[in-house]
Amino acid sequence: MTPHRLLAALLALAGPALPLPAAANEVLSRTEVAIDWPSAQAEAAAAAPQARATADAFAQAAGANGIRLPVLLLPVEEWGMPRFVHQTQAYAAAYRLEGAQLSVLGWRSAIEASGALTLHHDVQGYESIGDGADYSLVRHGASYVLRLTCDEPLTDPRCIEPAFLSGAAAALVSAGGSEK
Amino acid sequence: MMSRPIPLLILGLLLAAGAARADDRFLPPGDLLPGSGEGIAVTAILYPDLRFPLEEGPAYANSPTFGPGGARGGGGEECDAVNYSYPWRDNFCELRRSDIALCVSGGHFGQDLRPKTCEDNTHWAVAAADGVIAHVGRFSITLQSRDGTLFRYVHLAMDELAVAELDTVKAGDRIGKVSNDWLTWLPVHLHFDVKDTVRIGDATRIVFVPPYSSLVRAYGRLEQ
Repeated sequence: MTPHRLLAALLALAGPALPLPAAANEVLSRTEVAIDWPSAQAEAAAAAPQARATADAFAQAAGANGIRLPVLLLPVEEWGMPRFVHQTQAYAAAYRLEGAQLSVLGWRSAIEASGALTLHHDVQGYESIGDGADYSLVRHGASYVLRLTCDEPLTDPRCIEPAFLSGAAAALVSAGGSEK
Repeated sequence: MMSRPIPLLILGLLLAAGAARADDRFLPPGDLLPGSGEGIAVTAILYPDLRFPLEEGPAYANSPTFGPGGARGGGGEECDAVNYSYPWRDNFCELRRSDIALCVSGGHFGQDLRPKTCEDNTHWAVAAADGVIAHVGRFSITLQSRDGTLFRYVHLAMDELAVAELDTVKAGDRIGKVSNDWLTWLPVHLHFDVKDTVRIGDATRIVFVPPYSSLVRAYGRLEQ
């Protein structure tokens, strides 16, 4: 057998056993997104007293120093001050409700997925997730998800109808965050 | 002139053939169980540094719904050897009541993983990345990575979690034990899903993304 025929035979043997050519798999890149800070600051400056009260309470309770994206929270007078943690490029604010749990989660990066992923359906802000629901939005360039779960997710109206979570998303106010 | 490169090439091909045989353990992404929906063949790795979300192998990616013992599995037992054998099978986009954004038709948000055995409350799920336990629900926990990615773990033994809401975790830290915690009976398994921001052309969307290829890669590292 000539070397070339031997190679062809080896390739033929290897070929059928290659269901997942891992070495060829493309690694998608993640990029930090640009925040539209003028827009975020203008929104904060024009905010209603309710929003300013939330920002003041948040500054006292947690502080926004070092959070490099606009922090959106629920109005403190209605929802109270959440427990809060941040990771420079991301944050989580946790609210405890009677029989339910609600978090506001923010971050500022995205995966460049052109050519790798295809959108087959419209992306709605509201989405059922089995044990609750998400409401997702992009504002000033940053990403936010309100994640709601219920102790009784199949019967609690807050988790099976969009009104409660959509209302919470509409009530979000700017509470801090800075470019530096 | 060809005499030296050819043996080296043959050696390389033999090694590649051996590695390829190891990959027989993993069916390709998008290859759902027949009759369970239409998958999407996403070979791209979205999370190259993902820590496999179970502490130990072996583990088995397949469908607890359409496999033996599942609600739509046509009978059998959840501990059937078929469920605890290779090859792995993708079940992102598996049929559910509604469709999700990246699926042609289907609504399963993530990948189901069975641990080494079907024993309940025995096998640890661990953090898939450094981050924060951002949400603790009645039936699930969500880990937010430093980049913001939301990794969700469903059906853990929720009364015995190793973490609390807003705890900081490192990749590989124990989170909870795999169970079947839900409103109705389910096979013991971990439902693992990932929500993230993706840019597709001019569109920026926050969606559940397919984790299968990243899990295959992470599992390979677990075994090394």
